[in-house]
Amino acid sequence: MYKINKNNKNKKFSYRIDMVVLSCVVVFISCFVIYMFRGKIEPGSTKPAGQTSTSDTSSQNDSVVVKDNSQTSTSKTESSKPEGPIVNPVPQSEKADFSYFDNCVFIGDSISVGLTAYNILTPDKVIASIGLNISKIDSEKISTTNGKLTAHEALIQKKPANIYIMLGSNGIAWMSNESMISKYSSFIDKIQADLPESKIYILSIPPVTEGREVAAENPIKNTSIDSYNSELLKLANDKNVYFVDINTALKNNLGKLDTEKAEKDGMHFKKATYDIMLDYILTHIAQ
Amino acid sequence: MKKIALFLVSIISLFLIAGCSKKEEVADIKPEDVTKEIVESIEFPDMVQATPDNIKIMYDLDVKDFEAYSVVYAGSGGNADEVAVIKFPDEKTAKENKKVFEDIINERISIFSGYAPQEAEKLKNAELKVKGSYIFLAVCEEPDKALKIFNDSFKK
Repeated sequence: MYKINKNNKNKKFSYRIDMVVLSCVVVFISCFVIYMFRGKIEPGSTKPAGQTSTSDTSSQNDSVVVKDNSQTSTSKTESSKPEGPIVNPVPQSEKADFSYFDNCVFIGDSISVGLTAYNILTPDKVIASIGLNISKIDSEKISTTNGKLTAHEALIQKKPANIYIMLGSNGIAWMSNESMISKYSSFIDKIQADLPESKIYILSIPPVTEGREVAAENPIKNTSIDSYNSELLKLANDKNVYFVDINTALKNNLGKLDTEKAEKDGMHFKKATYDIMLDYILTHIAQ
Repeated sequence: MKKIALFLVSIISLFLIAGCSKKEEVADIKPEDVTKEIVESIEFPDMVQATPDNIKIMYDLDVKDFEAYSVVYAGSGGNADEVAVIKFPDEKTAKENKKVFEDIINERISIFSGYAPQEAEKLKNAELKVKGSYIFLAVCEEPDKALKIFNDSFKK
């Protein structure tokens, strides 16, 4: 049966090699049988057990969408900056779950402060201070959950998937559109350079009440707001970032903020007005 | 004789100093009851109860260092209204922390002066007091009325 060698050592060696090959074949067949049963592979399929068929994958994804919209929004936001031209203002979309805001950070002035002051969003989602205006965006230290930081520093730490910026209400009464847009533009450039994966949304600034338009102190005209907002829209298109027109969502038929939606100053929001604003954002998410 | 007189004067002075520096003994109050009564008695904009995170951002203080507290403030960023009743472990700590609130008030005055002078006025007229181990702050239309409610709460 075996090649007879004069050397007994060689004979033993040949016998062992055969045994090893035989063992390997037995182990392989055993593994394959176990593998077939445990992996529940369809006949004819060559995929390993760790992977699933196409139909399995799609059904799993469907269940994720139903169970948790936040996961859906995360996967959406992972797509980063748009590669081609975008449509602005962002058109209406299917309403996202409130958990969408888990992946967002809002930057703004006293109006944005209300988002966290009313406990609508947690403080880690809002980088805002009462006196903030676009001219101070690079220098002003804002109180955050991680200490006092500039808006840019705070963004770098948080690395949010979606950044919403609403700046201009402070300053529109005394700064020129050119000056504000120029500062805004630099700020967007910095964010795009350091956080290329984040989606940037510029929010139009909200309207004011009729009373605020004729106030004795610091009156603000809605026409000035509209003019600034159209510059913001152009800026968004130039920078290829998103523009969400919350101003339109908050205006009445006369193009002003309803008195009952505002505090006495005719500019800052009552709590219910934030609900309108956030609802609009949830229904205007870039796809 | 002179030595005896000097000795007696020293002893009396020591007693006087000790008497003057005696810590203010105050009763325990429930901060949330005080802020609630103030908000119900004075006209305020929409007010909200501050969370520990809010307090960290507003005062850079950790509520773990308080024995009890209640802070309510205007939800709208356009109003400076705020009422805070905070109990610290002792009077010394309360007095040390008074400076934190003084600095915050001054900072807010400069912020509000620019675009909401009436709110800056409220801040200038704010009542900030230390009573025993409590700090009391009221920024509102009637800070004196708020202070009276705070003081009266110790007599109940």
